[in-house]
Amino acid sequence: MTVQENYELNIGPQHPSTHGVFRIKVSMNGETIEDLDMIVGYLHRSMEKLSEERTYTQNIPFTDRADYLAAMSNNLGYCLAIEKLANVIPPQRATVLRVIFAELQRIASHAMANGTLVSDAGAWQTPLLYMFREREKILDLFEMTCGARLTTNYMRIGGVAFEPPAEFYPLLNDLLGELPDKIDEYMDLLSTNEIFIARTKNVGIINPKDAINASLSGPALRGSGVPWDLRKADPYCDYDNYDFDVPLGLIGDSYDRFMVRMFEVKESVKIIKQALNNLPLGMHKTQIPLALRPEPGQLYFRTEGPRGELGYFVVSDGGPAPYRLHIRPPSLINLSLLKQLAIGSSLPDAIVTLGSIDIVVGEIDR
Amino acid sequence: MVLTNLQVPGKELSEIITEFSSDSVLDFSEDWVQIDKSNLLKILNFMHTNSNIDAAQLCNLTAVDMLDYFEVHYHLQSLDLKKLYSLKVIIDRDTSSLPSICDIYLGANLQEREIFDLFGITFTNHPDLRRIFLWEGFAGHPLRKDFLQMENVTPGLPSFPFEEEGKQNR
Repeated sequence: MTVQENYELNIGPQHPSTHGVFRIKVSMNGETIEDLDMIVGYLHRSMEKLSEERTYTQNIPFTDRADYLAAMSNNLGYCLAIEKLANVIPPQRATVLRVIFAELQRIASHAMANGTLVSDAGAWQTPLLYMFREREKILDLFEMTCGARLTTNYMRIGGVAFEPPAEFYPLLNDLLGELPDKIDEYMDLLSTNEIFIARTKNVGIINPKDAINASLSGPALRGSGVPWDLRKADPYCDYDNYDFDVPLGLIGDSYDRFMVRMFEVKESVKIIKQALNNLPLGMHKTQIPLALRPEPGQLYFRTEGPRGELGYFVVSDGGPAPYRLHIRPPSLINLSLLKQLAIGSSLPDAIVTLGSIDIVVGEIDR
Repeated sequence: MVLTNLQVPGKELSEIITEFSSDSVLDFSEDWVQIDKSNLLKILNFMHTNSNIDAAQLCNLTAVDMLDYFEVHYHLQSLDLKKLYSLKVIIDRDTSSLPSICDIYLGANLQEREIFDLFGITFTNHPDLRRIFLWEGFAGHPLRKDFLQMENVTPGLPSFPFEEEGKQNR
């Protein structure tokens, strides 16, 4: 007679499939996960504390470093929150430029998310590098506009920092022309691929009720078929003037979350095309006082980041620095269901589930 | 003072809550409603289940150190009605504890752990109340206003040797 004992397996903090310094401790019974504990905090920089000693403008670079794969979206959410609090109205041109850059960032971020998911599912490197090809072009556009590829620090309170250079627009048009074809290429390569379907279909199913109760947002929530996109539900930056659809998943498995991201890229292309057609002339930034002092008050403002509801909770005491700044991290909160999803599944399935939720550790830890 | 698009005005929300439980609302302003700590679970349960409010999702949970007391902010939302509710609870600094709302909203789990870690507010009946970002044994809670950044480093962690050398040489 043999006696079976659970054994503990440690994944990370340095591991390709944890997408950063993120550690998972699993208790395994043979091939089955019986318990999961996630250990985060390796990248904790206490941004929220540091931001209390810096002016509102000085805090913008912190938001880049929270979600370093979607710096533009984080800049945008923060600047919109402070503008709302301080009653600053950005010029129309800045608003449209912001939409263009936020949607470009969404495409880059989704390319990264889906590329690494496919990589986690076993298609080592080739699809990932395919998607990096397009992401690279977007990062080049960022670089020629603001000098940085990842930590862009591009948005400002009251507008954007720089006007894109003249060569930006033809390159962007080329990219928009070829992106839908490239997406179709990935779909041909992956969405009907037998191995990829076997690895992702019916893996990590989240039902809509649990998804809502566990505060999931973004593609993780829409993958379960919940039609909730803050660009539609709570429009900011005049998103209600753009014509786009919100792709939804059918059953909420990893495959659905992958497909939602793929279709969202197509929708983002649509939005950028409309924005380019309606780009008004004028200033790209409005003048604000050097030390902005919003009226005492509090505000919770959220935008739809690539990973979900990206919220900023700001408390002002009338001084030049925020009294309290809280970043609502979609990556952390989307992990609320990871334990329930992993228990009872096998380790490779749990890795695919984690990959399909799409985390960025800089944002989890802040 | 600042209302976002979907946010329900504090006055409207306070009337709904008062109708359900008459002495629960302690204060309200344009954008928030302050409720009694002891009725927190009751009110959240009501808001979660009542179909006219339908606060199906907890979108944000955070705390603020107001020097004399802590404020804990709950931001709830209804996906069907497209509404955002903003509640706050005030608790003592010394006996800082609150009932956990994990039974109602699963999404509160990690956020309550974060508040416990960074503010030192305990949540009773939380299924797994541990520090989340900092290590066990870290002295103090960084987001409290009285946490001094450099002087409060955990004793026992050695400073870098070259730092000490530099000091002697100077």
